[in-house]
Formats: sequence, structure tokens, C-alpha cells
Amino acid sequence: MRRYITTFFVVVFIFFNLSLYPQTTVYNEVSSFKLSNGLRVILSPLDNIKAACVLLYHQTGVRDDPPEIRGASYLYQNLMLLGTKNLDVYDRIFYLSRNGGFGDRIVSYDYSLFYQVVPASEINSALYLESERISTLQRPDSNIRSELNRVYAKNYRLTNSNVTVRASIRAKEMLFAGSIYETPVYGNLEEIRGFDIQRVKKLYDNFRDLSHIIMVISGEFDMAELKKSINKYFGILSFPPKPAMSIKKSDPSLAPGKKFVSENWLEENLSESFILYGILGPAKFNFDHLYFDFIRCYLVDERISKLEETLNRERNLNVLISYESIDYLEASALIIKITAKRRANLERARFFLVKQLDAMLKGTIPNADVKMTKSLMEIDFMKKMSRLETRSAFLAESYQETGELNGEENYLKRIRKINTYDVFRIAKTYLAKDNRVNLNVYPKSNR
Amino acid sequence: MYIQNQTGKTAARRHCWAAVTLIATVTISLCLLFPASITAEPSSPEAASFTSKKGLRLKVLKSEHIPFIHAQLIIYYKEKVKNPAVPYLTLLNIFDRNLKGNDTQLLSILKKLGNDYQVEHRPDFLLFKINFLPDKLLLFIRLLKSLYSYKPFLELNSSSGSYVDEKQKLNTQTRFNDSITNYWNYFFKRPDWKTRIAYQIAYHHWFPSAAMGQTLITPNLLKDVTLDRLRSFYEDTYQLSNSLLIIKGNIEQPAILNGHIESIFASFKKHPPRKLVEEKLTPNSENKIIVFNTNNDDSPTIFWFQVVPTYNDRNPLPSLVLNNILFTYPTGRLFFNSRSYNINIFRMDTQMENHQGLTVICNTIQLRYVDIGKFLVSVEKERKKLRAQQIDRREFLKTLSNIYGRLEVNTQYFENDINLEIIKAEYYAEKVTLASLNKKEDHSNEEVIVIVGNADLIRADLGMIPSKNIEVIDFAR
Repeated sequence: MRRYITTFFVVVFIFFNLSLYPQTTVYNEVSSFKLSNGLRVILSPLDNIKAACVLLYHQTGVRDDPPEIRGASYLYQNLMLLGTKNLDVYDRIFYLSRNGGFGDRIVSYDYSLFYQVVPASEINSALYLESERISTLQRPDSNIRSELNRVYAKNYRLTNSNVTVRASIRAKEMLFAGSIYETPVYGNLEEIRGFDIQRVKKLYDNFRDLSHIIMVISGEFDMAELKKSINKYFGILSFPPKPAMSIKKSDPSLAPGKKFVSENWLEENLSESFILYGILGPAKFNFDHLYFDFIRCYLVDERISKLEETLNRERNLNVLISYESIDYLEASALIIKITAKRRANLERARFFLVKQLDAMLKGTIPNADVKMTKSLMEIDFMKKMSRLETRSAFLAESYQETGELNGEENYLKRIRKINTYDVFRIAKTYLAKDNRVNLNVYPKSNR
Repeated sequence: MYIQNQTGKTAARRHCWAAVTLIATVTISLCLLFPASITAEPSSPEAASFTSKKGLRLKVLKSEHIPFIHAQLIIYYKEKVKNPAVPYLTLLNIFDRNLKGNDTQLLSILKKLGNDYQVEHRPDFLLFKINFLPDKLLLFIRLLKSLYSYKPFLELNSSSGSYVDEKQKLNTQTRFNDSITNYWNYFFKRPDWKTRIAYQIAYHHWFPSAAMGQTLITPNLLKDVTLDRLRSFYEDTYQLSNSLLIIKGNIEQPAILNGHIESIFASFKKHPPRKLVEEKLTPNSENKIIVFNTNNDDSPTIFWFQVVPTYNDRNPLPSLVLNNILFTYPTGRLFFNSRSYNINIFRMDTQMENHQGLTVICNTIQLRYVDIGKFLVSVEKERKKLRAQQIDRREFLKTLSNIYGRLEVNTQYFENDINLEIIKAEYYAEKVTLASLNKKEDHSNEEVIVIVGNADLIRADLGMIPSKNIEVIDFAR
């Protein structure tokens, strides 16, 4: 009888819990279509907000630049704010500010993104601005020249005044040696000012190749009206197509292993010593990337950081742990920076960091930690998807790389399926000593 | 053997039917007895409000579009504290996951929930925000129980002498000692520490004798704090009748959630609801520049605070329009004219908080050390222009449109409606007219400028300002 009573309570418990919340996560249906000029459009309606995001994902980036002007596409981050046939310089910014919206642009190695988040009622104006940007951008030589000088001056100042920036560039150089990612995204500092202006100007054609653009519109809109507007502003555009971009899915220089490099730097006027540990990871849309992401989250995310627990709570080393996560289409990486006021603490931190990485090679992540990290990853992903611009970028990227429109659901399912075995498998491949680079930066006088 | 098996199977079948009948009967009876807990719908399907028997106010905002649960718990501080370090250290000891010592039960539950939480210490309340997965809703309710019956504090004076109790006391003491010894280390590790210290300084300057002004924590004040004082503050403040819980997510039956909360707190003592202290806040009218010295060369940040009386029942819009005509980034007068003043502004941002008839507006400006003096002069000049000339209609509409547009754009953030609920901001456009903005008396504000950065470099750039108008706070980090 006791068994039945227990069963009864279990059933009642489950019944009450089931009625508290629905068991499935609901994302609105995402649809796509293609215009006759090759532009692909993804529509992701959300009816509970009063904002909309117009995002253009250009399947072009610094990797498409000719070797002599590698990095020139990066200049288009700012050049795209210049005037067009019908708009003045910075009109885009003034328009956004007047309407309380915001926008941003990213030109990376693999792709470029331009977006605006505006009140839903302003969606047509946002479409108009984007169509102007990719069709009639004015690029006077003087503006390109001043942008070249600005990029040079800014990065020259940064690399010469900030040892952390310089060290981070060096760590990436060691991690991605032999690949496109070896050089900073803005190119070689020594060569920037010698770029041929006319060739830089011509790169604009890469950005307006409609067959290599995915436009994502998410937020509140009337589907029929929006389709009409898209046709009005983008249906009429037509530009000669460019050859496909040059992604190498398996660049041998980015294969795990045989990377181990260690360097020591002595710096004048350095107030605190620090060390950088770089770990090379799998390509962004590789199946293993999710598990690598799990390892990054587990080790360094400040909310659950295992390193924080090991170095500061348990060993009382009082070090500052920061990190940089890098995700490219051909590779990813984690760069951990540990800073300490006392050199002895830094050396101990290094010892325990290496010990922690080695422990993970042996598969010693407790189950409770796996569950906690998975929960956090799931929440973080959902939070990311609740923001229009990050959601739109994810939809574009996932559609481009996997052909999936419902990438969100699938990604969540994959997070939920993470298990200790897979994490151990990835740790063994990517946390191995020959897949790490190490840079130690010490003050000159203390040595 | 065969017969025994047959008998066993028949008996099992009979028991099984009995169990099913029992479950069905009791479930139906429960539904009939407590129909409200299952079928009750709130008056509005989007928001439901309850007040538990023990006084906890609960608001459930139903949203089908966020697949996780976002909750904010507000615990109001009731009276003036002699030492502002006490409320802050109390929450630090309860919630900080980095303090030395073992995890408490509360921290273990937080870990199971995913550890995606943050705690803010505001002048008049504590704000705890957390995100978790929907299947952990019951665990969250357990977290609340653990918070309102926080054993490490409540059992400090128990004298059972058991090993477990002694170990817990030792752990509580270790955490407390660490929170005092390494207070500044933890504080400066927070990503928003500059903003927090700037707010502490501004409120302390404006309301030195009111509860709202007991905010600035100094090394001397830390020395006076004891674990016993934290416990007594905890007992007095962390009460259900003193709290508001707002939960947002796809919660289909808010009444059931309320039922869970009722049942988990059934054994709790009911505290009589205490009135919040309604002090009349009169800000110190002395406008001042206060520098918080960081002793390093990191870029400085200016926090330009204004306190203005709220218009028309908490409508902060007129003040905000006046402020934003100057401070909007990148189209406000200050940024727009920064080139003519030869200033390089990296970033500007505006935040607003409402308190008992007053609105505090904070503009955050990031620039170079050499531009600080020029920036202060530019604000003064632009202000004079604003007073001398009438605001033109185009500029007025542009600023208003920016504020309204931003409110619409903000609807994409899952926290947005809860934030508006907490700051109690209501925007009435019809009550803002160009004519009312152009009245000269509306331009006078109490201001305090807090600059966080290297005091030597800042002073060098503020040579033209009389030193009596500049105060430097230096905790010798």
C-alpha cells in the first residue's frame, strides 16, 4: 500500500508541475524566399514587441581581399557610413538616433554584418537605407585615404601603448600560424598606408553581390506589406555576381596538434606580470564546436569558472582571470589571461592551470558540473536569441552554413544532449599540450 | 510454482486497479476542493498579481516568447542604517560565489539553477535578478525558502554544539572575514564598479542625512561591521512582507505558482507589514565635482548626475527631454559640437532612476584626460545657450522622437517591462510641451559630477576650477 501512496504522490506532483509550464520551447516560424536577382531573405516574425531588426549578412570578408591589400575590406566598416546618391554622410546614424534605434557593423575574415534595430513602424526606412548602402555608396578617394590613416593610427597607438593588445595579437599569430587568421583583420600595419586606393574602392563590388547576401528581418511586421517593401527596395537591384568566397573547410594549418609554442617577453614599465594561454579549437560550424564551447564555458565563464574556483577560492592566489573567445568559420580558440600582482602567485597559477587542463584530459569533470554548465549554456543561448540582432545574425549564419532555417531548435537540442563522454573526447583532442600556445609577459626590472 | 505465479499476477492486477481508482478519486476530489488553484485565470491573461498570506507580493508576467524564466526579487530597505556597509556586506555574504569557504545551501541551489544571477545594491532596495530553465521553477521556490530562512545567519547563536552546526558557523565566519579583508578586491573586480561607486558618492552628497544618502562605503566603515550586525540586519529586512517578486516567462498557471509559494512558506512567521519610511528628500544644493582616485592610467569616466523634481506624478519626460537635448549620443548638442571644442568623446549614455518625488538622471561620458576640462566648459557654454535661446520645435521633436523610439526598441529586451515596473516610470507625452520646456525655472537642477580616474591627471586638467569646488576621495587602493 505504501508503494501506491508513493506512486500517487509522484503522479500528483508531476501533474501539478506539468500544468505550471509548457514542456516545449516555442520559436515563431521562420520563412525564407529568394528574389530573382539572387538575394536570399529570411523572415522571423515576433508579435509581442514593437521593434524590428534589418540585418544584411554579406558572405564576404577580409579573406576575399587580394593578398596585396589584405585587410582592405575591414575599412568598409566605416566607409559604409558615407553618403550615397540620395543620402548625406552619416545620415544613417542621424536617422537611427532620431528614432531611438541602434545599429552596428562587423567586417571579419569570413563574413560581414550590417544591421539596424528600429521601432517597428520604421522598418521601411531601414530597408531603404540598406538598399542605398549596397547600391550607390559614394567612396571619394579622400575618404578612403583618411580611413586608411585612421585605422593605421588607431592600431599603431594601441599596439605600441598596450602590451595586452600586442600580446593577444602575438598569441593569435602563434595559434593560427599559416592560415588566413594569422594576420590581424585590418591587415599588416606596415602595409596599410600603401594600399592602392582604386583597388580598395573596387572591393565594394564584393559587398553588393546579391547572390552572396542574406537579408534577415526579425521583429514585428506585417508579412504581406514587408514583402512588398522588400521587392520595392531590393527587387530592382542588379549587379554582376562575383566568384564564390574561398573558405577552405579543412585548412591543414588549423588542424589540432603540433602547435606548442612558448615565449617570454620582458616589458618596460609593466605594472603586473601576466600569462596568456591559447588553445586552438574546431571550426565554428563543426559538430565538435559545441563541446569546445562547453569547455570554454566550464573553465572561464565568470559565473561558474572552474579556474576561478581552483586558483582563487581554493588556492587563494588572488589572480585576475580574463579570456577571449574566438570563433571563425575555419577555427576557434580560447585565450586565457592570468594577471597577478605577485610573481610567485602567477607561477603557482600557471602550475594549477596546466594541472586543471591535464585533469580534463583524463575526463574528470563531475556530473553535477556538466549539468550546471549545460543549463548555463542553454540559458545563455536563449537569452542571445531573445535579442533581435543576435538572433538575426545566428539565423543568417546557420542558414548559410547548414541550410537550416530552424537552427535555434536544433542547437538547443544539441546542448541538451551534451554528455561527459563527448566533452572528454573533445578535451583529449584540443586541450592536449601540443595544441596550446603560451606567452609569459614579465616586467623587465623584476627579472 | 505456476499457481503461485498466477495468484501473484491476479493480486497485482487487483492492487493496480485499486491504486488507479484511488489516484483518480483523490485527484478529482482535489480538483473539486480547490478549483481555483487549477482553473483560476487572472483578470488579465498577461499579468497576474497575488499577495501571499505571509505578505510576499508576487507578480507573474506571462510571455510565450521567452523560453526561459526571468525573475527579479526586490527586498526593500526599511529604515536608515547607521553603517551603509551593513546592507551591502549582508548581500555579499549571502550571494557572492567567490568568497572563500564552502558553498552554502543557497549557493548550491543557485548552481543547480545555472548560476545566471546578479545582485544589485540600490540606495533603497536590494535587487536580485536570475534566469533559469522552466523545469527548475520548483527549485527556484526552494531557493526563495533558503533565502528567507538563511541558516548561516539564523543559526549563528544556536548552541547545539553538533559537529555540523560548528562547521557551518566556522564557514559563515570564514566567508564574513573574507568579505571584509578582500572587500575592495571583490568590489574592483565587478564590471560595473565605477558606476556603483559613482552612484554611492552622488547619493551621499545629495542626501547626507537621509536614509537614501547612506550609501558611501569607506574602509573605516568596514572596520565597524560585525557578523552579528549582518545577522540582525538580515532578520529585520529579509522578510516576505518586505518583498516583491516579479516572474516573467511562459507560465500557464500563475495561480499554481502562487500555491507553491504559499505552501513552501506556510510554516514561516508572518511579519506585520511595515510602512516604508517616506522621507521628504531635499537634495543638497551645492554643485560639486568629486573625483574618485583610481591611482592608475585607465581612461577616466565622468558621471554627470542631475536630480530633478518629477513632474506630474512621476512623469520624468520633461527633465529627460531637456537633458537629452544636450547629452544624446551622437546627435545631442554636446557630441555634435565636440569638434568645435576640440574634444574626443568616446561614448555617452543616459540612465534614470525615480525616488519619492525625485528623478535622478545620470549621464556617463567616456573621454580622454586632456578633454575633461574642455568638456566641463562645453557643458557650461551649451547650457547658457539653452537658457538664452528658446529650444526650437525641430530639436524638441527630434529629442522626443528619440526617447519614444528607444522605448519601443527596448521592448525587445526580456527585462524591459520589469525594469519599467521597478523604476515606476510612466511617460505622458501630452504633458510635455515646448512652451513648458522653455520656461526658465525648469532649467535649474542640483548637480554633482563624479569623475572616476587618476586624481593627479584629472586635477592637472581642471586647473581653472577653484580647488574648493573639487573634492577627492582616495581609498589608497
